Amino acid sequence: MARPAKTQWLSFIVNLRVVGGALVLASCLTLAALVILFITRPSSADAGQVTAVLTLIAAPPATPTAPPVAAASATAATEEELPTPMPGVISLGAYVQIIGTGGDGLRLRDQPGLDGKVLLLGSEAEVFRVQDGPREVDGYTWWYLVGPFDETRRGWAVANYLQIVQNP
Amino acid sequence: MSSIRPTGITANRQTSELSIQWSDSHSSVYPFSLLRYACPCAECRGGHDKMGSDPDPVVFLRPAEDTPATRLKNLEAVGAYAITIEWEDGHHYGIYNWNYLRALCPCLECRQKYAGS
Repeated sequence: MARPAKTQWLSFIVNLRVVGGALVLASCLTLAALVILFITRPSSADAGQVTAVLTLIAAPPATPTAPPVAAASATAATEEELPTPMPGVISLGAYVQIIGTGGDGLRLRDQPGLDGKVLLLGSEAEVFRVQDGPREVDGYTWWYLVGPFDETRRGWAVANYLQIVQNP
Repeated sequence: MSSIRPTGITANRQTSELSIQWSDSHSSVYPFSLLRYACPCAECRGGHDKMGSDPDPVVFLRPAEDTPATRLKNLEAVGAYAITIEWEDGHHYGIYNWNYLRALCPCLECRQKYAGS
């Protein structure tokens, strides 16, 4: 009878150690999770940036569909010139498209004339806004073109390869 | 980049421009038409596989226009990471997250920065 009692006691001790170890391990894991949560919590500065202030300014009631100034001038210029898409009818503020280069593109120069330094090559069908001109140099009519959104794309180009954009 | 967030967003329907003040002190001014041309929704981008990329460089070359498609009707925040715009033609599917809007900034500095990326 003594052996079974001793075996039971040993078994109890072993179980106690297993349970105790499990509790210690769980405590360690919980502590580690809390430390990780503390380290990765959003700072108060970040929390302040989460929500941007949204402001919606209404359109003027008298002209609810008033176009932007640039678009308005372009439309007016286009309506005056159409339907004669010839180089001579290009005007300031109008939108023009490079056409007829056979895919080679059109050189945009830093000054009107064939001696002007080539700044960039406008692509076939690329659209520009006319900002200056015309200038008659080297037997060509030159217009100063600017990219409608990318103002780095600008320069003087000959009118022979420009066509008014009817509905920019 | 991911830490840069807007601190203020103003949609001005009088000037047809959306202005964003960023947490790094940069300011962006977007013509409404540019935002519509660059709508990041699957329908406008031509498929779901093209939705995550940067704006198409062609959108910066297109001239501004005033149509129902480019008139902003409403602006709403999407969580804390994006905005969505409702246009007067009813389109409202584009979700413009902060990274995309920053890459879309049309200023000279940003265009030079993002053109090669």
